[in-house]
Amino acid sequence: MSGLFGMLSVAARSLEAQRFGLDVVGQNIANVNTAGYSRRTVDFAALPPTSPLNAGGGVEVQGVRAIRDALLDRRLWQERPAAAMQGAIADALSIVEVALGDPGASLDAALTEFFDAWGRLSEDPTSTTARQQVILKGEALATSFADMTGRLTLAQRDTDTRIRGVVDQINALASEIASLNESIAKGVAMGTDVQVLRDRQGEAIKSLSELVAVDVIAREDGGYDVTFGLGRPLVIGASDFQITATPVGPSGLVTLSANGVDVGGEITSGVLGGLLQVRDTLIPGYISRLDEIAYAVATEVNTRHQAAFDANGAAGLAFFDPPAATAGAAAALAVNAVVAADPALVAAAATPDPGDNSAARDLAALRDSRVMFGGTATLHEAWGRLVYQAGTDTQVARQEERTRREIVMQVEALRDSVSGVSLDEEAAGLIRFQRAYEANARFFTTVDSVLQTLLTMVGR
Amino acid sequence: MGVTATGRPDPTDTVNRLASVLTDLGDALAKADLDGVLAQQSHLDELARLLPDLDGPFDRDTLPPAAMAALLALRRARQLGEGLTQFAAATRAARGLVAPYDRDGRPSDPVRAGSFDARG
Repeated sequence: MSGLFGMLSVAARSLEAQRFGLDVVGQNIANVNTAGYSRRTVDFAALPPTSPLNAGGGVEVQGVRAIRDALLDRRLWQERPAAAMQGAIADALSIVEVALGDPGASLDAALTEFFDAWGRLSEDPTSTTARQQVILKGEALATSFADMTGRLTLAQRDTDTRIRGVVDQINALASEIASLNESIAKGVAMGTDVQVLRDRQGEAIKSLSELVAVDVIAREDGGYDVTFGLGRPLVIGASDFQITATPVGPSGLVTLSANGVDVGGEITSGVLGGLLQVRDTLIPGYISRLDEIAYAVATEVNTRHQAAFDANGAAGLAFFDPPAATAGAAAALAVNAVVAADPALVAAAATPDPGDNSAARDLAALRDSRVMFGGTATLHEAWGRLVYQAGTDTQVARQEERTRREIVMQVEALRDSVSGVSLDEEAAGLIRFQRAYEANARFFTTVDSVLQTLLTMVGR
Repeated sequence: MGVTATGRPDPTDTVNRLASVLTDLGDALAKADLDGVLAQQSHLDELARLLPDLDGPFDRDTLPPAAMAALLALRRARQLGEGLTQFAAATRAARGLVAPYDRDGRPSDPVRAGSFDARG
């Protein structure tokens, strides 16, 4: 193609290509606020020369494609569920923190009042009123333990309700992705533009990846297969495989299954992973710690009370109903009904002499005795550690959520910082970032070790 | 930075400063700010020298939250750094730009390095 007409043809074809490019730019601008819209770009390709005597055929549009940075997409699919998981944990634990109450106005206040009542009885061991107060404060303490267990159990049930809702959302998104897979495959086969469908599919996968960590595999027909956990299928082509939530046992908490297989243990990320961790690990851990404290209260008080003498000069009975085991001790804690019915059965004396106050003083002093965790903490300190643990778990989850979201921002910032430069410059820039980080990171192990030691030293 | 009666740096002040430096490092990593990352190196260097010598009385009320804040900041910087490293490695690999030698001078991609024949 040479001569004037040939040159015009080249110019016309190039002009057409550039106009098409402008259309695409306009579309990008128009959709700048459209959720899930991927920026389109135009691939221009040089047409090869038709003979050794001309310079080439100009450019032509090869096609429109969405800029889908596979690497960035993959990174986002990894980080979103991790961030969402920590956010779910932090949200759920903030409810637990409220349930545990403020320092000095929660279970610790009931403990203080109980031991104060023993202190007042030691000042007047023959007082029926003081004996009655010990029983009342003992019952109030037992109620506090039961209430606290109830609040934590309620938080666990609330979390379970959220789990059911998230499973419903996951199943709905799986259905949508499967349906889009079918439409995209048909569109690709017929040669129609499926970009809008792809954008919707991208949005659905993004939403899904917040709820549960998924692996996304591109199909040859243009769709995506989606799996979760240990490769459990969620979407294969046009078929979706639902997750089932089934209430089990007296607690009524749901177990999750897919194709009849229990998958609860495989879901360790996303909102669902976070909620499962709160329901199955964190809250049971707090309840267990609460049980340990209640068990120690019952056994330590009973041991002292049974070694003492009541107002009738008889050996003391168990003050609290003896707990059968540590598990469930907080919910079951109760003042022995026989003692509760007769204040004279409160044992305040170390001898059969009803005027003796030694046992009451000993029981009042239990407040400051290190009877928890192998003799390292008082009952109050054990409660304080439980509250601190819940607070720390929340704080760590919140920080982790922020960091995960920052990693997404970081990847985007990196992508922007290296775009528009040559591949060599891009690679060099990334190496410089990496080396700069590594220069700082060489201190991390030392710093980590020192901080862990510090926290151990101060007993937290 | 405050000092104790023994002339050593106050532990809580030192740990607070560490948390601040690590937070700044995390901020710089999050923004892919190379200068910001580099700027923290001397601060961390100095603090890493001070930390093993922390001694003397410390405040039980202020030191634990400071240490926890520093640990969280450290974890954040570490995660962001790992994210950066993975991104850099994956980007280079995706572009086919594999560094011919690692930091110890060994070929990082023996197949590629071994197949190169400068004599044609």
